[in-house]
Amino acid sequence: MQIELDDVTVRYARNAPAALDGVDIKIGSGEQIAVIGSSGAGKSTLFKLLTRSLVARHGRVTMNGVDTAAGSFREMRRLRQRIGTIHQRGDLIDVSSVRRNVAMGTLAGAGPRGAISLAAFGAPRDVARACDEALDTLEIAHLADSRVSDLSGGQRQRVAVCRLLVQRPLLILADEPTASVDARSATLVLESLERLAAANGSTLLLATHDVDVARRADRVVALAHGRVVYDGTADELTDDVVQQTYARARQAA
Amino acid sequence: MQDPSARPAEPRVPRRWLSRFGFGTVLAALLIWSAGGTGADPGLLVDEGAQQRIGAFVSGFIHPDLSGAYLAEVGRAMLSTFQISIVALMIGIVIAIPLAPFAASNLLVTRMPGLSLRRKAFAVVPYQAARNALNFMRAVPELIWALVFVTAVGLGPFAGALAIGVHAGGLLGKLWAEQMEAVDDGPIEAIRLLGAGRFGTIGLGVWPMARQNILSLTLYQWECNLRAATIVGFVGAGGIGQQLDVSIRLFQYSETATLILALLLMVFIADSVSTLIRRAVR
Repeated sequence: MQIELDDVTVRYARNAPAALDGVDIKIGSGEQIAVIGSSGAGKSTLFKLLTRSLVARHGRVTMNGVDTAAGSFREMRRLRQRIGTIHQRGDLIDVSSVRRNVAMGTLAGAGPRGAISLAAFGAPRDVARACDEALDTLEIAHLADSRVSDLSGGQRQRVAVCRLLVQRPLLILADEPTASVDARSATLVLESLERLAAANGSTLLLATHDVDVARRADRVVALAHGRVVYDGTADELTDDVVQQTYARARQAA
Repeated sequence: MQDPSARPAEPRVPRRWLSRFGFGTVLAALLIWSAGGTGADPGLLVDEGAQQRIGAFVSGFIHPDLSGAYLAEVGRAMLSTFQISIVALMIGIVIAIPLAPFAASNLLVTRMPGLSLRRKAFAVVPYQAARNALNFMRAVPELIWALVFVTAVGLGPFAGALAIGVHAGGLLGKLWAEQMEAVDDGPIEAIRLLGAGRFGTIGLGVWPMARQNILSLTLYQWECNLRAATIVGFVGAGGIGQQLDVSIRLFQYSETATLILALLLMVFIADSVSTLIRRAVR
């Protein structure tokens, strides 16, 4: 999915400081980009903008050529269905089973009726099989019938990735997916996201505090107080550049 | 010269005591005004006539009518009351199911910043309509609904069930909507992002997370329906309330005592059944 942000400014309230301030970014289809920045830099705001959880009043955001502010509800719903998300907290339904949570990834093509059918009758056989394959990839097939509330943080993140494997989105927004998880889960999560993006030609945006994780990406965008302070390859992302980015953020604070 | 280390003199009457005195005065004035308006007179409880009337009432209660014939009649009234409460609950659930999802603010799109006024207005109309309908239904007391339905369908338990059911629908719809609003936002947003519509989001996300509380509230509403079924009987809408009305008007306090014991028994049964259902569903 191609994304363009053209001089985008976002404020959460009229007199509040800008959460994103004159941001210009062009993202090509299939790129894997790490977004780094301290807390409050604008990473989550950028992701909310792309999922249309909020709308920029100034500037323009286009996704595959469609202006997200001007598109109809139906157009935007179709676009949003091609976006897969994974957050630090997992965003899973705790009281439901692992398999049902993964099966929700198929909602993208099924529409509102599919969602009601899934809720009422469970996943059909072919969907259940695809879910089990995804769970096997992340080494948690034995947890398919377990409740999500019984899982550890690392296992929950693996379930969230399985949902993405089943959904096969065009855009993957990963908001600190490896924070607070064990090393094995972190490795599995990152490798699965990278493989999924490469296999489907999906664009991957991964927000992280971890510079080593950021260096795995093709490109790094650094944010500080809502502004882009670095946009270049991971190779050029030296320790000095990182320190300057975070120092600038501290000074501005 | 004043010693700089000396503490400033305390005011004669500390400020906090002034505010407490003022608050106390206002409260006392409010109580006196309210008592005057209601004609409150504790002396009325202790005068000779009142003592005799209370005595007659209490002596009737000490000797409830436990004759076979009367107990059979009370048993039939109890069954009728249960039936009214159950039908009323079903009516309430049927009303709440379509309205509660539209009355839950977290299922609206209007909370996005930057959304145009036109789009917000379009989204908010069903929300306001649902909330206002639920508010109207629960604002009108069951007794008034009973008068309406007795006029419409005639005296008897059906009028009572309709009256209690409409009121219960308003209450349940509001309470269910509040439970839906209280669930965690993150998973709901994720499901909506995947393309589930309003009812799909409820089926997959909201209902699993809120169902325990919704079930508890619904069972509690059934108990409230039982008590309401007693009241609406006073306007001819059937059940044990009608018997209560007759026994009080005819000063048959021993029968009133039997009916109140029957009411206690019904509430105990309802509470026990509710507990069993909650445990089974957990």
